[in-house]
Amino acid sequence: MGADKTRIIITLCLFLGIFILPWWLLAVLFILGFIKINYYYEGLILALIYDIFYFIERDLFLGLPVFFVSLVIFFIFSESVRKQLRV
Amino acid sequence: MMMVYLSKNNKKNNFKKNGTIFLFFLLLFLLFFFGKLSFLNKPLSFIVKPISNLKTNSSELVSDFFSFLDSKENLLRENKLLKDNLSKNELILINKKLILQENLALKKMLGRTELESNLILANVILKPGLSIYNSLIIDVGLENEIKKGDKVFAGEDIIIGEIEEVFKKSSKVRLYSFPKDKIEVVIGFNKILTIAEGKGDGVFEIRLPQGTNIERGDFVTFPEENLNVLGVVEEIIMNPEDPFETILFKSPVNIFELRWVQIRQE
Repeated sequence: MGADKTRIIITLCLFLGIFILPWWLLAVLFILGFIKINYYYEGLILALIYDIFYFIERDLFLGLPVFFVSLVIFFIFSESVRKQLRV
Repeated sequence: MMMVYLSKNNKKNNFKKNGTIFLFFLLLFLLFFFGKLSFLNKPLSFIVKPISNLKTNSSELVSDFFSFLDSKENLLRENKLLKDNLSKNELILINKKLILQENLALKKMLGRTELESNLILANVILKPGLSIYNSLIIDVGLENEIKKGDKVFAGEDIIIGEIEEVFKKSSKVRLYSFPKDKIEVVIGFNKILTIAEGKGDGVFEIRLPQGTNIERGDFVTFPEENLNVLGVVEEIIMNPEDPFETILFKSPVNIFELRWVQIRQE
C-alpha cells in the first residue's frame, strides 16, 4: 500500500475516532500516527477539529485547548522519536 | 563510498517550509482561540448523529444478542427483582410528590413563588467519556432558544451541568464535576453554604470543620435551587489530627450512560 493511501486511511480512521473513541485511546492513536507517518500535518488539523468540537475552558488545563497543544508539542519532537525508533 | 551532503539551498528550503507550516498552525490556533473557527461546529450534528445512532444501535444489538443467550431462570430472577424495585420506587415517588406539594404550598404561604420554567428534552450526541474536557454535546441549540448558562438536568431533579456554547442545532454542556472546577453548594439539613471542588466522573469534594453533623445520604443542592439535587454524600473522611473533615459526594446518575438530558429555560 502506498504511503499516501496509508496517510488517507489513518486520517479517516482518526476523524471517525473523534466521535466514537474515548479521548485517551484517541490520543494514543494520534501519537502512533505521528510516529508512523512522516510530518503528519493532517493529524494536527484533526487535533484542532477535536478541540473545536469539544473544547471548554478548564482551570486544570489553564484554559488552553490541551489536546491540540500537547499534540503540537509531540509533533515537534516526533521526528527525533522517529529517528530513535528508526521508523 | 558516495557521501551525500545537504546543500545550503536545501537546508534553506526546509527551514522556509517548516517556518511556513509553523506560521499556518499558529494562525489556526489564534483563530480558534478567538472563536473564529466556531462556524466549523455547524455541521457537527449532521456528522455525529448517524455515527452515534450506528454506535448505539450496534451496542444494543450486541447486548440483545447476549441477553437472548441468557438462561430463562436468570431472566425470571431478574424480572422479579426489577418488579420489586419498581414497586418500592413507586412508593418513594408518591411520597416525594406529597412532599413537593407541601413544599410548594408552604412557599406560597410565605409569599415565595417559583419561577416559571420550561424543560426541553435533548438527545446526547457526544458523551463526556469522548472528551478530555468532560463536555457533553446535545442536539438542541439556537433553534430551540437554548441560551448560555441554562441548567442541564438528568431526569427532572438531578442537575449535572450548564450550557457553555450554543450553535444552531447543537450545544456544548459544561459538566460541574470536572477536576479542580469549583461551585457554590449547600449541604445537609442545616443547609451549610460552602464550595465544592470537582473530582471527575460525577464526584465532588467538600472540606468543612469537623462537627457539622453531615451524614452519609445527605443531599447537596445549589443555594438557589433547593429541590434540584447535585449529589448525595457518599463518604466522610475524618482525621483526628485535622480540624477539617473531607466530604465526598456523588451525582446520583452515571454521566457516562446518559442518553437524554433536559434543559431548563427560565
